[in-house]
Amino acid sequence: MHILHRIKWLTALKIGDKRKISQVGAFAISNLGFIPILKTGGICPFLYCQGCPFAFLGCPIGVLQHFIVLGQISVFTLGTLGIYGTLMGRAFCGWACPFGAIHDLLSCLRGERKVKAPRYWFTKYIVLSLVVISAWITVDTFFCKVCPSGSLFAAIPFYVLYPNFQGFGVFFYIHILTLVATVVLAYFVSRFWCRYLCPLGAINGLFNKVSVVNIHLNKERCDGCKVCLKACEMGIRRVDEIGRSTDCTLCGQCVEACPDKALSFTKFAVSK
Amino acid sequence: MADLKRGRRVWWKALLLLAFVIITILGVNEYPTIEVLVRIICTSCIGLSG
Repeated sequence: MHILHRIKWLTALKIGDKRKISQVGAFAISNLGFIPILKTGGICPFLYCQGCPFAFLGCPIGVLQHFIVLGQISVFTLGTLGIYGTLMGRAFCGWACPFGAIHDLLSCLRGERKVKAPRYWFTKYIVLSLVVISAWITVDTFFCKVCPSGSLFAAIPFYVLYPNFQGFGVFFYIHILTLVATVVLAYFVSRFWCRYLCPLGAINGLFNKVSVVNIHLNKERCDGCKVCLKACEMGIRRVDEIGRSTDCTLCGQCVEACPDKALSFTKFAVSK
Repeated sequence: MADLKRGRRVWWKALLLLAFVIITILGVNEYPTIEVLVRIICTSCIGLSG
C-alpha cells in the first residue's frame, strides 16, 4: 500500500519534475564506479566521460575513437547504441544526460531571456564526421581532448581529487577553455551543445523516427497555437517535427505546455 | 487499418531491435577492452601532458 502510494505520488508529478529526478538519478548511476568493482565495460547511453574518476560505463564517443585508433570498429558500441536508440530515440539526451542537465540549469538561470538561434540541425553531423576523421588521421582520441563534458566530469574532478599532480598539460587548459565557451554560449542559447555540436546526440537523433518511446500528436485536438514550439528548448520550428526531428530530445516540455493535450508520450505511435 | 499499420510498425521495430541485439552479441568480446578504458585514467579526457 505504501509503495502504491509512492508510485501514485511519482506519476502525479509534472513532466519537468520527473525529468529532474531522472537526471539526478542518471548522474548518480553514472558515478557508481566509485565502487571499483562497478567500473564496467558497458556503454553509456549519453555523453559521460569514462575518464571521470568514478565512471561506471564507457563513453560511446570515447570508445568509438579508441577503436578507430586501433584500426577497428567497435561493433559492441554500435550495437548497444542501436538498442538504446530503437527503444528510446534521443530521450536519454533529455532525461538522463548530465551535461544536458547542466544546460537545463543554465536555462533556468537565464529565465525568459531566450535568444532565438538559427536551427542548423546538420552541424552535429559535421562534428560526428570530424570525430571519426580526426581519430583516423591523428591516430588519437582528438575529440576527447576538447570535449567540454570531459572537462566537467573528468578533468575538473581529477584536478580536485589530485591537486598536487604535476602532469596537467596544455590540453587541460584547452579543456577548461572549451567548457567555459560552451557554458557561456549555453547561457544564451538553450541546449547549445545538444543542438549544434553533440556527436552522440547526432547518433541518437537518427533513431527518433523509429524509436519505441516517442511523442504522438493528435491532429484532431491540435488548434495550431504553437505553444509547444515556444516551450521547446531545442528550437524545433514545426509541430510535425516534434518527436521526429533529430533535434528532439523527447523532453516532454511540449507535452506539458500543450493547452489542448494534443501531444502525449506514446509507445508504437501509428500516425503523426 | 490503423491496427494493421500499428502491427507492421511493431514488427519493424522488433526486427530492428533484434538486429542490434545480435550486433551487440557479436561484439561482446570487446567488453574487456572497454572495461580497461573505463578503469584506467584517460590522459586525453583530463588533458595530461605526455
